[in-house]
Amino acid sequence: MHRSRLTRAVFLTLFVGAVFFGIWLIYKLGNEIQNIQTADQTPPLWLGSQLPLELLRLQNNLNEVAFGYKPAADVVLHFDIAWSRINVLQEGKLPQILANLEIDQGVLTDLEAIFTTLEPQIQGLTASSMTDEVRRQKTMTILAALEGFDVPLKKFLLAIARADNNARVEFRTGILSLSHAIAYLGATILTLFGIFVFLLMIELRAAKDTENEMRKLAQDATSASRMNMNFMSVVSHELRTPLTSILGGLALLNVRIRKTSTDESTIKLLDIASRNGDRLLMLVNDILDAQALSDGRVSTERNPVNLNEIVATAVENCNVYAEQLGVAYCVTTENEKVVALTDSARVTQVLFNLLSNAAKFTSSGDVVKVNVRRNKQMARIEIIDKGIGISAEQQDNVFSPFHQINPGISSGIKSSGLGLSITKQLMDLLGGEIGVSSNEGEGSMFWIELDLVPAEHDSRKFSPVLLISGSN
Amino acid sequence: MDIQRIMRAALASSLFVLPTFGFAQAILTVTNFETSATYTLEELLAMPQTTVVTKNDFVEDLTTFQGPSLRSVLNDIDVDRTANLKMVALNDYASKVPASDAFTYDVILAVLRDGEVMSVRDKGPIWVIYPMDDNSELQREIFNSRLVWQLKSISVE
Repeated sequence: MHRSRLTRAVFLTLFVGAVFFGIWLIYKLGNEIQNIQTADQTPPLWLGSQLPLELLRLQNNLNEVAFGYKPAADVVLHFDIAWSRINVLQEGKLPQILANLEIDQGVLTDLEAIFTTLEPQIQGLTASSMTDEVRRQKTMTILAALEGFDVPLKKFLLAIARADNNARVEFRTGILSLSHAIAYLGATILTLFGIFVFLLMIELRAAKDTENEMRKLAQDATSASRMNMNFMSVVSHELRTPLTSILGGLALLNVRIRKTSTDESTIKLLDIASRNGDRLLMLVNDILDAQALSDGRVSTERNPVNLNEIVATAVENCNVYAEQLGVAYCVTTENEKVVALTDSARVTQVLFNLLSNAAKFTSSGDVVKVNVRRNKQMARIEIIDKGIGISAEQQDNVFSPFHQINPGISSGIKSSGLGLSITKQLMDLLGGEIGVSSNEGEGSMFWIELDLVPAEHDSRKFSPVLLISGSN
Repeated sequence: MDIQRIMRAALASSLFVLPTFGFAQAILTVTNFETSATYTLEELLAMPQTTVVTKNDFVEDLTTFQGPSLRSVLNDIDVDRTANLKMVALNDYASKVPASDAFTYDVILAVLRDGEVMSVRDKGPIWVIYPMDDNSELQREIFNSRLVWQLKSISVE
């Protein structure tokens, strides 16, 4: 865990570093592009090389005019063109570029000065009154004045050529470093992607590990509770056999003692022993039932059943227990048969649980009401007691396992807390509904609902009603 | 020898006559294969004028150029917009320019710079000007070579 955290920290640092490197590269890239754009926008230096060329042309023209091959106007034109070349190099961006490249522009000013002095003479050549001889002499003078610029102009040209070459090299270097920057950027992006994927994988692995751990924990918890249940089941099974023998022995002993002895205290002790033995047996049975239900080992066999009869049977079964508590049942049924397609044994078990519960929570001398009615397409059985009731908060949990409501100090009755849970699971198994409504201190009403059988099934013969079986 | 003398005399007289008619001299020839047109400075000034205010590498500051649009001159002799133009300067410098430039942008044959006629010494009499300040794409190096000054002739290639 510590190592994975360290790896993550290292990669995160790398990631952040790569991001900053990428930002720096992009910034540098922008600069490079700016440089190249500036280089691209620089006016070409070869413009400077045009000056010596035009000067040469002027000299040529002067020669030709001197020998009368060309009109003097041509000299004027080429003089102007040559002068324009000086001007081009002294206007706009070019003088700045030449200065930046440290090219000596002295030759330009010298040439301009000569041009200014020569201008009247050049213009004079076009005078019509001039004889050929005079014109020749004048052109020769002009030519002589223009001489001596060869060397400085050549130097100027050379400097320009060198600067131009340097500019090209610089441009190429710029392009090269640009391409390098792009390559680095590409590599950085790839690295970033790689780190990202790696981090993602680490995260995924960690998440998977956590998930596995959780799953194992859940499994452990499930198996622990299963083991617990299994243990209880085994213990209960082992308890039931000797318990049955004890209870049988106690019953026989009870009969004999009552015949021979009149000792009240002995009889009372025997009664206490058999009552507690019965309770222990009930508890063991409940545990076995709950285990069977949670394992899905309980099956149902559905037949058309007259619920009136079932209720009558269940009440009959419970009567012995209720009488001990001094509680009576008051059953109200419909006149007609109330037929449901269900498992009579299971419904009896449910009703037995609810009825004994109701008796348990009813004070001695009171009555538990049992109603069987039709409610639209449903058969509804209500068991109404006048016990302590269940608070609103507890009504939600009343069907969960091991939930117990203190039946009150006076009654001294205890239960396994499994009864209602088993009842609820049985109702779920039968596809019916179970519910409770209660006001604390006024009593409770537990009800179950089962689907009624459509009319055509009514003619069927009913299966005999079975007593509940303790366990499977 | 006689012939040579006569020629020189003719030359001299032409030189004498030239300045007199100088103001009406054709300064631009536009050729589209068989068709061609010539323009004097006055004729160019008499055409509908377009003004372009721009900078370029060869002027110091923002400058106002005025002259007929290259488009109108090309239209005069039905030059196709896909044609390639050869622009020749007084010193026979030649630059190839696609005619589409003239139809896409307000390229002008500037004859006035800040309201004044341009001398040969000052890149005149005609300077091809692109509206570079209005179209940033024209500020690339390639368009610098299309700013032909001392323009003499345009021909379709």
